[in-house]
Amino acid sequence: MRGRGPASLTLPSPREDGEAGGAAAGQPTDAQVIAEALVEPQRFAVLFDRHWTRVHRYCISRAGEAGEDLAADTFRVGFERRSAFDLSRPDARPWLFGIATNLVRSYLRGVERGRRATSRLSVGTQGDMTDDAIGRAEAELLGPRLTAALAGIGVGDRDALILHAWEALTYEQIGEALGIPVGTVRSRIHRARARLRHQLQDVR
Amino acid sequence: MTHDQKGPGMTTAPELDWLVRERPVVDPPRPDATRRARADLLALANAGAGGSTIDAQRSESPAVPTLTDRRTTRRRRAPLVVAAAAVAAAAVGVASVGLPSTGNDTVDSAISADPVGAEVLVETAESAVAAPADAEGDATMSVHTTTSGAGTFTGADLFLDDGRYFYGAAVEGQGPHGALAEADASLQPVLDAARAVAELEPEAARTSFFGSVLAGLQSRPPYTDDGAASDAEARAAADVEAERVAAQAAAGGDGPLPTRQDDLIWATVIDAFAGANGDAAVRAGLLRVLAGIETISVTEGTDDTGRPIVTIANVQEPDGEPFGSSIVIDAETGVLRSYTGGDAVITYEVTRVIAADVIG
Repeated sequence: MRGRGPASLTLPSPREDGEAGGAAAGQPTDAQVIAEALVEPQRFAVLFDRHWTRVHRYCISRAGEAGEDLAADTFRVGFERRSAFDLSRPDARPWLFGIATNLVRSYLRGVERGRRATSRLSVGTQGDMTDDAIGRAEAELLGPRLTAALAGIGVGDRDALILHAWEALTYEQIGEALGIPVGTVRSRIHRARARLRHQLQDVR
Repeated sequence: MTHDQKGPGMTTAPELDWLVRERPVVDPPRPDATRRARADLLALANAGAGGSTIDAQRSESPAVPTLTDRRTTRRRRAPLVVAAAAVAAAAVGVASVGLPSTGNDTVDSAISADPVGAEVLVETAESAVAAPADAEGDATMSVHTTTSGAGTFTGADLFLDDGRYFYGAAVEGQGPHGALAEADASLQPVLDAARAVAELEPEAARTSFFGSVLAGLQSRPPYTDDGAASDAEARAAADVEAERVAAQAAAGGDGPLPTRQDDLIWATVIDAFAGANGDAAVRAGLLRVLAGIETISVTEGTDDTGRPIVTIANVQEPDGEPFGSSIVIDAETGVLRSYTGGDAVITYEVTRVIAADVIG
């Protein structure tokens, strides 16, 4: 237990270079910070300072302006679930990106769900329930080129591909983030890349 | 949000390079947004510490509801009308179980379809159980529409998270034909058996599943219910069947023939799938059981919305006459989307609902 109590909390300011993952040399690892946060919850803000910029960028890249709230939610959910973090893993980024990915998916489902509900109510029928909820909502956020290129890539495959390409996570880290075996990550990324190559022939 | 053309983190794979270049350019977090998010987190942390201290930055930010708060919206009650259940579900904002409706889907006209191995079913089983559960709702509603030469019928199954199960029937356009009523649990042993093999290798899953729920049926005439056979009779019948298959193989047949065992497994799994749309572990078990059947064919494709699907087909010979049937499942969640057999096509629309909204 650290001697500092909530009343005397003085946490460092958010780093300007929040792109760096994990801890800087000489600093406690993410796992150590989370372990400390189990007894001194405010320590979790250190994790925020380290990873906010990247998580924020990731969420906005995938969900547009709503990504800002989703990024904040990522840390709130992470805080609430900190006791479930595997302390043998020093780097918390895969875990945070996994939470963020789930929140983005839920958000995109909600966008499409709301649209469908409105459509049903307005026309008095069951409406169009045939669309890929996440894909259609995401399409409006990513723009036509990315949308066309990512069309036909399943949600799970797309998550793995984007975490690999945009966040430079390793296969092992993606497996950790998405809660799937490394072999499944490999097959998903392989499948997604194959579809992307195919799609790019039309996009270019 | 614009698109980054600078291409940071270039790779040796052109499609990945393209994807990196196309990543939307995101401005750095606004200082006020960062302060607010951090202050909210600290407020949560302070609350978690049991203290009342709030970081000074907190006072600068408006109250932002927690994630839980945002999701705990009250929903109105829906009538006990099956045909209206899906509409009511959407109207009150229920969550989809990760897939679009199949009521009007054209899943049979997949825009791409590639034959693949049964290992794809294991992949789907893994992703089904790994998929995050939809937070909203406490039950899964599966509205199914059957179209055949006899007409079109709509019914619904309601799977409560607490294990209870309800079903009902309705005729499209004629109002309620029957309200949802709590059903008996005749499928429960099958679902339990599937759940128990959710992490087994396919062959082991198939063997265990068969032994748990079907071994006693094999010695009976098909499609009758005239009394249970003893375990000894069942084992003897299984042995006879195994010898028959071995003899066929030795005679140089064109690949493994459908066996009575696999016929029974296939038919049971198909029935169980319709009852498994609310339980990922059951779906995972059923998929692993199917992956253990040598005669199935698996095709990977996408539906007309681009969502990945898997078609699983099989030919049974229950009476010496081949009978082909197939199911289409969501490739990520394993949820059943449609069944085709003979002249019948059944489509499934699956949503998360609040049980009280439906059954009162």
